[in-house]
Amino acid sequence: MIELKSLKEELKNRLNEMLKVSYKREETIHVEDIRYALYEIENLINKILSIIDELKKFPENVQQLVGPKFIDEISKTCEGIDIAIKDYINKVDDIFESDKVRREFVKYLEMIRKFSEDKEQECYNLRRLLREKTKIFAGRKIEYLRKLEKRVKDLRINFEELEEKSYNLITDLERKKVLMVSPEILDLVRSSELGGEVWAHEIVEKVSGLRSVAGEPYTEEVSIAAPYLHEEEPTRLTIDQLLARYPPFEPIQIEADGIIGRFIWFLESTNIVFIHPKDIQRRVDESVKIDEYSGKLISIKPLDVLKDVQNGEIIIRIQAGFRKVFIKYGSRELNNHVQKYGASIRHSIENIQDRYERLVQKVKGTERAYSVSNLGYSWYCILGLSMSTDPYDLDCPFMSECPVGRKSQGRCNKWSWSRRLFPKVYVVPERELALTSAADPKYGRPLLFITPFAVSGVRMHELYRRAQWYMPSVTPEGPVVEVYFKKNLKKDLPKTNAICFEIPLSLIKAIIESLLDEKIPGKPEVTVMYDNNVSLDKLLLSKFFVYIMTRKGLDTFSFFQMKDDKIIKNFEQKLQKSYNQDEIVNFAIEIFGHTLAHLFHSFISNSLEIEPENLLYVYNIDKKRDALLVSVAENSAWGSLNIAKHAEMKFGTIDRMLEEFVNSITKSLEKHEKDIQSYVMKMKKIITDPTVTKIADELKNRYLSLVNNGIVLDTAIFLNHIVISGQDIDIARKLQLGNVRELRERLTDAVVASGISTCIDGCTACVMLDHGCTAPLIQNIVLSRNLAAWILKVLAGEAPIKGRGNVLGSAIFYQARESFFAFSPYLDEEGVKILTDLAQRAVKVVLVTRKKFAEEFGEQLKKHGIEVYVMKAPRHDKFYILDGRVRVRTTQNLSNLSSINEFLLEQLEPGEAESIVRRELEGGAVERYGGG
Amino acid sequence: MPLSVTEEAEVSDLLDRVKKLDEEYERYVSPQTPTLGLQAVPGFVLLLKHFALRIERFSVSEYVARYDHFILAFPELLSIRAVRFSGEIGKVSEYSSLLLERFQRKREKGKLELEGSFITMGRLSNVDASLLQMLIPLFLALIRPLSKDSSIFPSPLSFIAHELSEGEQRKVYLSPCSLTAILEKEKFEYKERFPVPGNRFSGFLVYGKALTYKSSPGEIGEIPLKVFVPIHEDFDERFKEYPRGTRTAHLLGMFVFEEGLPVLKPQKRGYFLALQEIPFLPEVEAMAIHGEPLCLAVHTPQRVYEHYCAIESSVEKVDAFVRSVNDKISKFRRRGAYSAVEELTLGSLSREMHDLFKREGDVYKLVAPPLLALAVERASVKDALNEVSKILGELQKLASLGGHEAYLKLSELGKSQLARRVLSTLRGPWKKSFEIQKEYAMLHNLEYLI
Repeated sequence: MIELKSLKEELKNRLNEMLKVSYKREETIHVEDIRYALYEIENLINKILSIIDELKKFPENVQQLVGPKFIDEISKTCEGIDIAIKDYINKVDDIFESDKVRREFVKYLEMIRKFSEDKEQECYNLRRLLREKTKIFAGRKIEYLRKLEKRVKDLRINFEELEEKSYNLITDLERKKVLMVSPEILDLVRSSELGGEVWAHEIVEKVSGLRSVAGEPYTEEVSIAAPYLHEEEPTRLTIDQLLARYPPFEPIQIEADGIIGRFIWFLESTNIVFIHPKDIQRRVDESVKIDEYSGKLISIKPLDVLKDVQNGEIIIRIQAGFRKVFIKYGSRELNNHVQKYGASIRHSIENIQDRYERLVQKVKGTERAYSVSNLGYSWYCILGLSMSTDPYDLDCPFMSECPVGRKSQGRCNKWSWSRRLFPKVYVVPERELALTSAADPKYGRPLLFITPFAVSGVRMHELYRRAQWYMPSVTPEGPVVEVYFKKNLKKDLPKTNAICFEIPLSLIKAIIESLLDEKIPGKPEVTVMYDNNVSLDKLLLSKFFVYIMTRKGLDTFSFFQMKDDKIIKNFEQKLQKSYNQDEIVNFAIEIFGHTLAHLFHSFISNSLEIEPENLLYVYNIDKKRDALLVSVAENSAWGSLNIAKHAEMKFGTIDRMLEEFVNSITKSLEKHEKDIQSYVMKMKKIITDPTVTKIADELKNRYLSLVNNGIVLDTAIFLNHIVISGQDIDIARKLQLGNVRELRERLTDAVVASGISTCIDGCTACVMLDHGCTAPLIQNIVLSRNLAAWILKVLAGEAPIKGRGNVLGSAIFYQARESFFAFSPYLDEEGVKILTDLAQRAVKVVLVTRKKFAEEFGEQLKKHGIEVYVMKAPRHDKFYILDGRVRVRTTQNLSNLSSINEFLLEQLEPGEAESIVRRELEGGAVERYGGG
Repeated sequence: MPLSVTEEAEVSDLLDRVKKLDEEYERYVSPQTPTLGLQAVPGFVLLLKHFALRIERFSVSEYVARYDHFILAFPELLSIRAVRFSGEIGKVSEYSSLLLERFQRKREKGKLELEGSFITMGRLSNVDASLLQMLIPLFLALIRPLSKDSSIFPSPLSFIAHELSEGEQRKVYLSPCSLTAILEKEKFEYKERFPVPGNRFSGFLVYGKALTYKSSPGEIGEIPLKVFVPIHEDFDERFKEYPRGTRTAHLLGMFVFEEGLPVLKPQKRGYFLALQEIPFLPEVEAMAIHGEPLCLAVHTPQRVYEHYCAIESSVEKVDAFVRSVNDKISKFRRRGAYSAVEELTLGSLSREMHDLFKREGDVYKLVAPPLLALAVERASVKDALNEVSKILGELQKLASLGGHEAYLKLSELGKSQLARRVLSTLRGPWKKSFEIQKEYAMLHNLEYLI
């Protein structure tokens, strides 16, 4: 939504700025350059710190070779530098505006330089010493010594780089003129200065932030050059589109000369080795251009496996934890055909297909043969150890390299029977919204304790460090494989807009703690089956358990294959012994924040009618500010959509938007729940096939036995578990079905017929996102629809919550910032402490209580400036008003705080609080204690 | 590797004998009869990586267990074997001797069997036996590698299977021993980062010769031998001088039998890794070849208690052996080879030798090696032997006495702790070890490397 007037104004300003600039690259340094340099320094420091952490894990007598002082000193200094650099990143602009800050900054950099120089030398000496020592035979010690030597080497390299980076930055700052114009404009000026041509639309794009009249936001584009991809010029895509449509490591599903999937591009990664062909590494490096300075992806040129690569195949090995995973792209046989027929292969494909089908029939004895010309499908290992897009790989091509293959004689029986679509590769984004860089956060009126605000001109970064996908297995969601890029891709949105809200972290924590408190009755219920509920806390525990057992979702397989009794045993042991409450609470906060961010993202997208991919969500748990921060930002470099304004136009004010969000979400989630239940009921009636119902009963029993032991799995996980743990065979045998295949075909129907809810705690229709999630493969584990819905309801005052006064009660009371009115007939020491604590934080505290307690504690309270009133007649009701706008209706007195009571939050209209207080104090029912 | 029919017989017989001995040792070592392990090569610990693959229905997991693999010489067993240790690093030192209370072979499903390698379940501790550590050359002299035609076989008394994992799992057999090598000047090849088990060293690969001895005609012969001489400060300083001239040296080292079979043939992989020069003890070697265990048998009504307290051999045979060896070595010296062997034969060891190796009439007697283990915690070997000789004297008397009285006296004698240890160690597996090496050589008509 752009106003023509402001656009014009903006254009004029920007052009004026341009004219003022005299641009000479060697004489100037740009603000963004400094920021990037700082990011790089921060990155290096983090690398050093992680090496130090590793060193700390070595056995002590090995560590002693390095000297504990060495480790301590580095870790202490680096932590200090890390904090300082983060601080400077947030106030880069100050470095230019204030000479003092700048001088200090240079001085600090000099300190870093000196420190890294010293440490580099120390590491050099240390490494020489260690190398001498590693030459003897020393059993396991030698392994550690070698590792130690390598770490010290890494340390040295990092310090060397750090020294160089800080030195360069110092000289730049001292010698060069600093520019504060956007780099895009500089590009324009540079190209016009160089005498190049500049298209008018380029100027308009770059200064307005709009790419077309349709209002597509402008972001940096990547050019992708593949002759067959599109007939004409190299295509230009935004990095989001590129990574979503044509991610690295995945064959591009586009046809060229009748063959699909012949193009692939790779990103150099730390845990990948190219086995074949030998020279491929160089080609891979050449095919991707990344801007060294900013980390932006400039262009890619996907490899044509059948044309550019020797023998037409690429084999890579990925080190995934303990496992080695092999992937083969392309096909030697198909390559031969391509060589033979040349460009006319398109017409010969039918022929080749014919022969291929005969081959498959001969070897496999099956009618089914997939298209020989589609390299987007792959054969795979059912252990998830390898896959191959080569249609001719009817047997595993990695037998000699794979430990399992070596053990099997002749043909490996773990190789798949059929081909499956090549798994979708997800490049995982990590986002950071630099709220401190926002020019003018506009706060709205809080809804109870949720405070909305909008920011414009805020900086945002997206960092792509890794890509992940499921290796296909018996189920399409096999073990997860992750690759870590050597060079991180960065996306920078220097001035974007965001709408956000924050919730006090301490309050969320107290709510979750109350939920997990076993003694507290009346927990919210979650439907897992049409006639079976579990309480939300049990669901949460089970979720945490699955999260832990699957190693944060990355190793679902070893969990799935456990037998039920083993899972149950593990559940009891792990949750009772290995984990403390804090870990579970932190996990719950994390998934609450994440789910809320997803919900907010979809809400903004729907209500403001902005394409989801043009929005980015960020959630942030800020312990220092005691806030859970949820934001949705524009995915545009220059904030051309101006969503804050957009929201204002749509909802009137930003607080109305928040209200609307909370209402619509709680309602739609409730409706979703009802829909699902009715769907489950309906489906149960529709499915009448007797075999299916028999299987359904079996599934139901197994599911119930897990649920009764506290383990709640969603249908996807449950089905995978049934298949992978071999229970499908048990069921088939029990029901005397012909074979397992017969059963597997009916499994999906059966699970519906069994009455297990299709969305227990989140599905793609409610909280999961197709695109842009920061944990794409494990959404079912790290999101919780029920938790988000319930906490939101509590926070919005729509549902009461039971909790202990010293956990939940105090967490609520301590939210008061300005005033606290307490109507509490009873009072004790603990209650007094809350009141005096608040008073010490300059909160105006007024208390109404019984005479007996006023006499007991009155003087003490008055000392802290607390106004105390006594009731003339004994009353039993109690309530509290915070900051003149939140009323807490509760059964909790300011005494006996460990007891369990009910709390309900209530938003008061402006003025309402005042009249309540006045009615209480001036109605004649109370009198001021101690006169006055 | 193709093996000839006879080699196959020798290798399989060797493995059988090693396994038989291992069983024997496993039975013998217990908390009641702990055994002393001397560092056969002090400071030398290998890294043993044990890979295990667990393949389940739809998943596979790999485990790596890491052990320190100590190579130890056991006087009481008259053997060199290895023990695995996976406890805290630094709990036992690789420079000090060990006392072991448990000695267990382990066969795990899905894992390679490692012959000559034992697990201790952490039942081991350091013990100070520096005195005995000096006698390592003497033990090694009793353990002789063997050969036939141009193939070399390890002695069943020094046999260790080790697992290497470079890319894939590989079993190598190791056999620490001593031998006399002739290293000719022209045959030195410098190798950068030559791979040895678990490490890489720079040094010289020498296509040299080793001396052999054929017992029936009593001839000294030669056999081709590939030796790797590492140049590094942790190994013998003298190695640096080697390439300057042809040399005869008595070397302590280790056969590394590659290609998965305990046999070394020229033109194949596998070599002798030299670690240091040690004194040459031809008399003791002669005892290993010609000697017989001397038995003191006590006949009681229940059973016969056999105590093997020495090795005995005729003066004539031993002297003949020593003479021909010396002749051979001096022949090399006359041809211009520098001989480290003669230089080192004398020295500190000779004094100790005096107590251990004696001439009695027309026989030489070498004290049973297990008795040396008793010298731990004693000031000198002589002290230990003096104490032991009393017990042996008693035993001598009992041997001539026999009958019920002998039984009573024997149990009386067993009341002293030292005597009990002496008796049990003399009844222990050392005699079997000693005989098995001889038997093996005799049966297959093998020559001894000296």
